[in-house]
Amino acid sequence: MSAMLEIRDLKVDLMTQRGIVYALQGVNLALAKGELPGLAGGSGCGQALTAKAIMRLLPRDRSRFSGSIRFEGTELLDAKEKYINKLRGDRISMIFQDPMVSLNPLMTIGDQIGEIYRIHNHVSKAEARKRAAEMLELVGIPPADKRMKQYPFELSGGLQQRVMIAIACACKPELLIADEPTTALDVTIQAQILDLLKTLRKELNMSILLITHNFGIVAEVCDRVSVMYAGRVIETADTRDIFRNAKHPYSRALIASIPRAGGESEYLPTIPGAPPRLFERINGCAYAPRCPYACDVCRSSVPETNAVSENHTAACPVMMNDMAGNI
Amino acid sequence: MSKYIFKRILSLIPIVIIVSVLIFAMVRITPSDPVAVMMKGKKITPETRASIEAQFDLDKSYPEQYICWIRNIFKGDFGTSFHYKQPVLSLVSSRLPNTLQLVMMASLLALLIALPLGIVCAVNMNRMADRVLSLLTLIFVSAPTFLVGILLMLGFAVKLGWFPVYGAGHNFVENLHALFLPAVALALNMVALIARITRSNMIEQLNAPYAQTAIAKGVPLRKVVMGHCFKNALIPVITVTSIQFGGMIVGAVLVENVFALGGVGALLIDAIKQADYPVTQSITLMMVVVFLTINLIVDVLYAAIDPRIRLDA
Repeated sequence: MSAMLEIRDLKVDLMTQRGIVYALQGVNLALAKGELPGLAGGSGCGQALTAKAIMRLLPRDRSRFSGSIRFEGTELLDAKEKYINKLRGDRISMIFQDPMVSLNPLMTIGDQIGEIYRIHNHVSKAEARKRAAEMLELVGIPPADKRMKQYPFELSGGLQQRVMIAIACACKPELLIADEPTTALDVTIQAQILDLLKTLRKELNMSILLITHNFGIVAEVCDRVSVMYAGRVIETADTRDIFRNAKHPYSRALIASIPRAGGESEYLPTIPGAPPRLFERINGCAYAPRCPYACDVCRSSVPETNAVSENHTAACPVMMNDMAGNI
Repeated sequence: MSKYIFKRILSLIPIVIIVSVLIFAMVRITPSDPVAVMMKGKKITPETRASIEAQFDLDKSYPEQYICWIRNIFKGDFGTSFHYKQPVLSLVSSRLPNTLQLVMMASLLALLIALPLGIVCAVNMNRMADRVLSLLTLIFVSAPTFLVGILLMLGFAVKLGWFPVYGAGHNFVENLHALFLPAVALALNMVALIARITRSNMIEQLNAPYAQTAIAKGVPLRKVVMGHCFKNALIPVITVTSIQFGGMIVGAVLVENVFALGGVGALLIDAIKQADYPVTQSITLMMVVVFLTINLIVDVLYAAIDPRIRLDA
């Protein structure tokens, strides 16, 4: 399995008004063609930032990068802006959390989809419009000719997200990054959008990196999941594997806090505390202060990522030692 | 769209009526005696006073005077100036076009300078270019208009002879040349505010999620700025420009004095000092109509830019 996208030891520091935030502290991630992995974790743990780093959407004068992001063998971190612009929207696309504000309010739907053909395929206005209409049909917003002339505010949130997906998939990208695509939508619409993404993935033969904080969504659509905490990937496993045999206490806690219909316990388990604010590099496991199993090793050095089995890695010294899984 | 404009125009009628009453009332409330001013403070007999008052309808009751004023306006007669003994309309018609053209030229120049300035500052936020240009606009706004006017006049009219030193031309085309320097002096004053509003709105729009979408689509930065963000940042810019435009019609008086243009602002100020009721109330009413017209144009521009306004109406 050769990786289409490979992120190695990605570190991102953000210069903010309150000081430097060490937002990503060494992210490792690999993604093969056609896969649909999830990138899970609580908010502020660095998933969205990782996505933006891949798309090079972070302000370059207010952030520092190290490590490597390779897409089909090409390093993206120091690639020329011109090259990145050709990549964006054409080979790597992204959809965002809140469709209501992610579309230009003053531009018709048709123009916003058509624009991407004009930029990447250099087609005429009429041709762009024709293709945009086809794309609208594909993402399930008929009647296309009427929708083309509408403005974003005339559409519901679910339809707006479909438009976003139409834009992102217009050029048949190899990789689609979906940053919490359903968080702002209600549950029935959520399911429809996720179904649409699954269908498009097959039809267009693309990989989708799905960022979510919702393990329910991971279970529903992802083949594989990487769990992030405080700017690091702390566990990666096949979806099936992680639900049965999560090694990292944080992954376990996240899975335990999925609400289940007809669950026995009266209260939803929660993780006490909050993720650390990353104003300094953390020496040791960032989760240790909230972890019931933490010991001295966890606090003294950053846990190494080790293989649990094939396709399953985790960064927790305590759990790794306890191979019998007694804890 | 035409329905929207029609509705807007209808809504202006009650405003004009109410404002005309207010103007009329305010002119009468001011503690001034037009007859005394006309007689230049000389002692006069009650009989003379009565005959002057009768001549200018000042002996009638206020409601009668008001109705008389409005009725005459519909006949195209704005009254006769107490001071100049000339019809108000002929006094104004020789000045208002000049003032309007001056203010229009100044606004246009200001926009031509301020919009690119604001955009460049926004794109280079907090970098060298932004800091230098922001400082420059601050200097422009701090320099008194009349001083800038005098300096421009010394440089470009007296020394270089490119422009007339003072006075306006006789028609629109001549004025393009004659009013250029005063327009520049006025424009420099407007630039700072417009550029600042453009800058802050462009920064907001450049950081908006839809701008990020555009970048993620692979749209080059230049097109994101001009094709996506600029239009979204335009509405507050139009608002500020229109307010300044309105304020300048009277506010241009300093520059008009420096360049001896005899604008409508000076006429109004003199009229107020001389208790010249017909001139004061008529010019003020005309200003109100100009303001409302600007507002109407601005509303139409909003609707043209933003479909949410256009389609909701």
